[in-house]
Amino acid sequence: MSLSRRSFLGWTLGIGAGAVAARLFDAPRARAATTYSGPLLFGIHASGGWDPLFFTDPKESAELNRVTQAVGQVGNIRFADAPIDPVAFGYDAQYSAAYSERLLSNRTFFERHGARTTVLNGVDTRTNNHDTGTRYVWSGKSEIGHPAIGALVAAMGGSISGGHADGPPLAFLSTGGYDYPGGLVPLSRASSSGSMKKLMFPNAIDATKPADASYHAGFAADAIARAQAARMNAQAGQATLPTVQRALAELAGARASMGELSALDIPPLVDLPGNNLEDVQSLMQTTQIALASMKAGLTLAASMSYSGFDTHGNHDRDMVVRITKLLGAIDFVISEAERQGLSERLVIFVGSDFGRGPYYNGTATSSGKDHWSTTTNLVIVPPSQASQFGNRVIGGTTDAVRARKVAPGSLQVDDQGMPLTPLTVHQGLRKLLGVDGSAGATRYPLANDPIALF
Amino acid sequence: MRRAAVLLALALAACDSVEVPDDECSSLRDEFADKVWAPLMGKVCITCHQPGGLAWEQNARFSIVPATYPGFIDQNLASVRAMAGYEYNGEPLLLAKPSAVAIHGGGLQLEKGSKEYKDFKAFLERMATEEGVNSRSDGSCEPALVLPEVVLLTPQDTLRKASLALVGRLPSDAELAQVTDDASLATAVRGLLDEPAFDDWLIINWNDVLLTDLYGSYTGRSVGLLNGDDFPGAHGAYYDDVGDDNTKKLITTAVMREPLELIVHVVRSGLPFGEILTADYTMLNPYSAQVYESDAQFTGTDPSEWKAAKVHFTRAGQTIEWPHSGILSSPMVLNRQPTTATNLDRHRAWWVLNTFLATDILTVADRPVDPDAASKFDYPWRQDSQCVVCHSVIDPIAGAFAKFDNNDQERYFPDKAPPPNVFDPGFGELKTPAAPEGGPLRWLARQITADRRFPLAMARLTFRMLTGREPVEHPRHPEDPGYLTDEAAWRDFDHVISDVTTRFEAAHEDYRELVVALVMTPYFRAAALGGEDTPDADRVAELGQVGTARLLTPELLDKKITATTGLPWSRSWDKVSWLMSDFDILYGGIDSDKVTQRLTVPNGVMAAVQARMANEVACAATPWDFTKERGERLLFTEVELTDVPTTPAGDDVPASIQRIKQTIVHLFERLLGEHLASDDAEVTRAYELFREVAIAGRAAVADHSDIDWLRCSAKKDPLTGQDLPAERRVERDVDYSVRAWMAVMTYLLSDYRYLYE
Repeated sequence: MSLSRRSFLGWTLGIGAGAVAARLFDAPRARAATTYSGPLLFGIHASGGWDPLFFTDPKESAELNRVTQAVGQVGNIRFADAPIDPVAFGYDAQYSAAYSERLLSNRTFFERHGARTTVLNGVDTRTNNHDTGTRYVWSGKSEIGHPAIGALVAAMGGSISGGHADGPPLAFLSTGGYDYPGGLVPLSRASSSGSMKKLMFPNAIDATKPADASYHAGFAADAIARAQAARMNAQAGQATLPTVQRALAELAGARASMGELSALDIPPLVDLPGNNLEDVQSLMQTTQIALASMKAGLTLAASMSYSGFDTHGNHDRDMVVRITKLLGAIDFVISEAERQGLSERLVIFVGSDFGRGPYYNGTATSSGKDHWSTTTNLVIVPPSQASQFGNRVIGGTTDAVRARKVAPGSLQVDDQGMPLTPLTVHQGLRKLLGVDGSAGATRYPLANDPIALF
Repeated sequence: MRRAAVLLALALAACDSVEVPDDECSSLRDEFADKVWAPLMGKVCITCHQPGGLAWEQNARFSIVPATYPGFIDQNLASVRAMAGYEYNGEPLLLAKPSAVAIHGGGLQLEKGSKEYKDFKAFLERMATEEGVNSRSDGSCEPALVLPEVVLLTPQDTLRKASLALVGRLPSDAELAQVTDDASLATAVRGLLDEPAFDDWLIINWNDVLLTDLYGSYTGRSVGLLNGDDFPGAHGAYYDDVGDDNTKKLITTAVMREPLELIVHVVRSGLPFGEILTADYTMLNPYSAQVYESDAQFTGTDPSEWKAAKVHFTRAGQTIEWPHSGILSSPMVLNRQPTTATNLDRHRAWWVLNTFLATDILTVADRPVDPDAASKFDYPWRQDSQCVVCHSVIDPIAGAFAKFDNNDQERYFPDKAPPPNVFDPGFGELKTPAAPEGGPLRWLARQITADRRFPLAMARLTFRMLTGREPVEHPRHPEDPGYLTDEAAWRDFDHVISDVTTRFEAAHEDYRELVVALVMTPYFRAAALGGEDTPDADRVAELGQVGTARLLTPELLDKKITATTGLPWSRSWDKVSWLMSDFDILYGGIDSDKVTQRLTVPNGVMAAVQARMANEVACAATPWDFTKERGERLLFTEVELTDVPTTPAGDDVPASIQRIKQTIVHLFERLLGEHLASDDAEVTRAYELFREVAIAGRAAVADHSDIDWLRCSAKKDPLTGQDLPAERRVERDVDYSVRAWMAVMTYLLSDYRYLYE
C-alpha cells in the first residue's frame, strides 16, 4: 500500500489538523469512541492442531479415541462424552471446586451454549503445515499475505487503506493467533497491568487522579497540539520517500485514535486460586480487557491463542486437558460478554491449525497423534440469531476421518456435494459479520464458494 | 545503466519483442536473472523442474526452485552451473534438451534461433569463463549499493543514525568531524562496532531470532531445563544449594544467554560468522561454568566474564564430550526448537533451513495435501511425491539432531541411531559420513556455512535487524496488478543484498563488515527521492521499500532518550526503564514467548505511550538540565531561565529572543538530528510555541490562576538520588520559562523525527 503525499495531506487535514494532535495531550477531552455498531468478533485459536475426534466429531472406535468411545448429544450436536475430574488431571485437590467451575466437559459446554453454536466438521484445510493451516483457517486463504478475519472486522471502524483516521485505538487487539492485519488496521496489544491507566491520561501526573495536576496547563497543551499538527503537515508535505509518507500517515492515524483510551473501564481482573489454571486465568484476564475495550468502542475484533494442542506425544492426557480448559475460557468469554452487554453483537469463532491423527502414532500410553488435514471450527452467534444459526452441525467425516462433502442448498452431508473448506467458512463468516462488502473484503477477495453457511 | 537494463528486462518479460542492450556492467548473476531466468527458466522450465513438478517426480537431474525460495537466483544459478559440463553431440545439454535436439520429457520448449535460446547460449559461454557470480567485466561500473534516484543522508547524519541504532549514543563532535565521505563513514561505523554497547545490539536482535531469553522469564527456568543426572550442577550439586536469590538469577541468566554470548564472542573476535554454527566450544561465565562443572578458569565472579569452553558430563562412569556445534547444540536452542518422537527433529530442520539458509521449504512446496494419497504408502514421507518434496530436504538435516533425546530436548545420547525409514542424514546431495569429525551436527554446520545461502541468509536477517523491515520478496502471482512494480522493487533489493553478501564474504564473514555494508546501502541511508535521476510515478512505486522510516523499538527508543536527554525514562522506585517493563509489550516489543513479532505500525496505545514519554521526560529533563552550569548542559546550552521573550510590560527582549532561538536550533540538532538556521520556519514554529506558553503562563501566575512552584522541579540529582544544594535547585518558575521549555521539549520528543529513524 502506498499513500501519495496528496492523499496523506487530505487525510490529516480532512480530520482537522488540530484534532490530530489535540488528543495527544489531553485525553479526557476525547470525543466518543467509534460509532460502529455492527458485529464484533472474538477469535480463539487452539494452537497446534486440535483433535475433533475428542470434541465434536466423535467416533465409537478405540483405535481413534482411547479415552472414550461414548458419544453424547445435546440438541443436534454430538460430541465425545467423558466426565472431567481435576484431581485426575493431577491438580491441587484443595481447589477442586473452583477448578471444576472452569474446566468444562464437552457436555457441559454444549448444554450451556449449543443452542448458539454452529459446529463445522470435516473442514478440509488441505495441509498439515502449522503455518499454512493457521493462515487458511483464519483468513480463508492458504497463501501468504492475506489478513485475518479480525482485521476485516476491525477495519469497519476505520481503515488505514480507506484513508480514514477515525479507527479506534485498539481496533484489532491481539495476544496471539493468526493476526496478520494486511495493512488494513494497526495491530494492538493489551496489558493486564495498571499501566493502561497511565496511557488513558498521558497528561496527568497521577493517572489515578486525572482531574488533578497535569504536566502541561490547558493553554500549553493546546499550543503544543497546534504546533505539532502544523509540523506534521509540513513534514508530510516535504516527504518524498514512500516509506516516510506511510510512516507519517500511520503515526497520524495512531494519534487520532489515542484520546479514546480514556473511555476504557477495566474491571478487577480474575484471580483463580492455586497455579494449575494459570493459563486459563491469563486467557480470562485477556478476555476481560478485550471485552472492556469492545464495550468502550475501542476494539472491534480480538484475537487470542491457547497453545498445547500439538500432541505428538501424550495425546490422551494432554488433548483432554487442553480442550476442557479451552472450553472453560470460551465459556468465560460468553458470560463476560453478557455481563458487559455485548452478547447481541459478539460472534465467537474458534479454530485450530488442522486436525490430528486420526490414528495414534504408537501403542504406548504416551503416544500421540500427528497432523491431519481435516478439522473442526465453531461459530457462536448472538442469542437473537440462535434460532437461525445455532444448534447446527454442518459437514462431517467418514469413519476413517476423511472429509465429507456438503450439499450447497441443504447443507447436509452429501457425497455429490462440495467440499467444506476454510474458504467456505470465511465466505460465511464475512457475511455473518457484515464485512462481505467492506473495503477490506474488496481488497482481499475470496473466490465464490457455492456453500452459504450463514 | 543498471536501471535501464532492469527496466528493459522487465519489459521483455511482458513483451518478448523488446531488445535488451548488452549491459557491460552486468555481472554473471545479473545476466542470469535478466536474460535466462526472467524470460525462460522462471516462465517455462520451472513448470516441470521445480520440486513437485513432473520432471522432478521423474528424478530429472536438472532441478530449479521457484521465486518463492529466497535466494532462488543463486540456487538456480548453481543448478545451471552444475549442469553446464554436460553435452549432447557437442552442444550443452541445457540447450539440447529444451530445443528437443536431445530427448526431453517436456518436448520442445525452446526454439533454436530464438532470442531466448541465443541469450541462454551466450550466458552459458560466459559462465564457462567466469568463476564468480558477481564479477564485473568493467571496473567503471557504478557501485551496486547505489540507487541513483535516492538522495542519501550525509555521511555525518548517517553516522548519527547508525550510532543511535547500533550503540545507543550520539556521536561525539570529534567523531563527526572525522567523517567527510563514504570511506571515512564506513571506518567510523566500523569503529562503533568495537564498543561494548554493540554487544547489547547483538543480544537484543539475535534474541529476536533465537527467542532464548524466554528462559529467563523466571528464576531457575533455564537451569531447570538441564537434566540433573548429566548436569548435577543444575540441581542439587550447585544451583539448589545457592542460598540467595540474586545469585540464582545470575545463574539463570548465565545458562540462558549461552547461545547469544557465543554470537557475541564470534563477532567480537572477528571470527568467520559461520562459527556460530561450527564452534567446537560454547561460552560460559563463572556461574554457568559451575552448572556445567566446567574446568574453565575465571578471575572472580564477574558475570560479564565469558570464556570459550568445552562441556562434558559423566554418565554410567563414562565421560561424554558434548557434541558442540555452535548454537545448534545449545541446550537453550534445542529446547526452544523442540522435537518429539514423531516429529523427529523436522521442526529443527525447518528452522535451520529458514534461519540459516534463507529457505522456507514450506513455501517452496506449499500445495494441497491429499490424505487418501498418503495413506496408500507405508512411509509416505519418502514414497508419496507430495510428501517427498519437502521431506527429502528436511529429513536429512533433521538426522543431524538425531542423537538428542526426543523428550528431554537437550539430552545427548552419542550412540542413538537416526530413526529408521526416513531419508538418511545428509545435506542436499551429500550423505553424512559414518563418523564425521565433531559428529553429524557439526558436519551439517560445516555444509551449511559452506553454502552461499548462509551469508545471504545472514545478510537478510541483519537487514531486518537494522531497518526493522522484512527483506523485499519476489512477488508470487504474475497476474497481480502490481506484479511488475513489485518485481522491480525486488530486483533493486536483490542487487543490493547480493552485493552486501559478496562484501561480507570478501571480509571472511566478519559480521561487523556485514553491518557496515548494510549501513551504507540506500535502504538504511535514504533521505529523499530526487537527486540526479528524478523518478517518475512508476519508479517511485518501485522505490516504495527504500529508506527505513522505522518506528523505534522499545529498546531503541529507550536508549535514544538517555542518549539525547542524559536521563533515562524509568520508574522512580526501582529505576527500571518504563519501556523495558510496563510499556514493553504495549509499545510493540516481544516477550520471546507468546509475543514474538514486533509491531512496526503504531496504534492508539503506542501513541499514548509516546505522549506520556514526551510529557514525563520533558518534566524530568528540563529542570534538571537547568540545575547545571551552562557549559555542562546537554539541552539548554544558550539560555538561562531569566531569558524570556518579553518584559512583563510586553516589550520584546531581542537578546533573549536570540538566545532562545539559538537554543531551539541546538535542540533540533540534538534531539532530532536536524540542522536548521535560526530563521528557519521550524525554529520559528518552536519559538512561537515557547513564546505563547511563556507569555500566557506568566499571566496565569500573575493572576494566580496558576502557581509559580513547579510540579516538575529539580531538587535531587535524578541519577544519584542525592539532594542538590539549594542554589542549584529549580523549584520555582515565576517567569514560566521552565514550563515553556517543557512545552518545547514535549513538542520535540513526540516528533516524528524523534520517534522514528
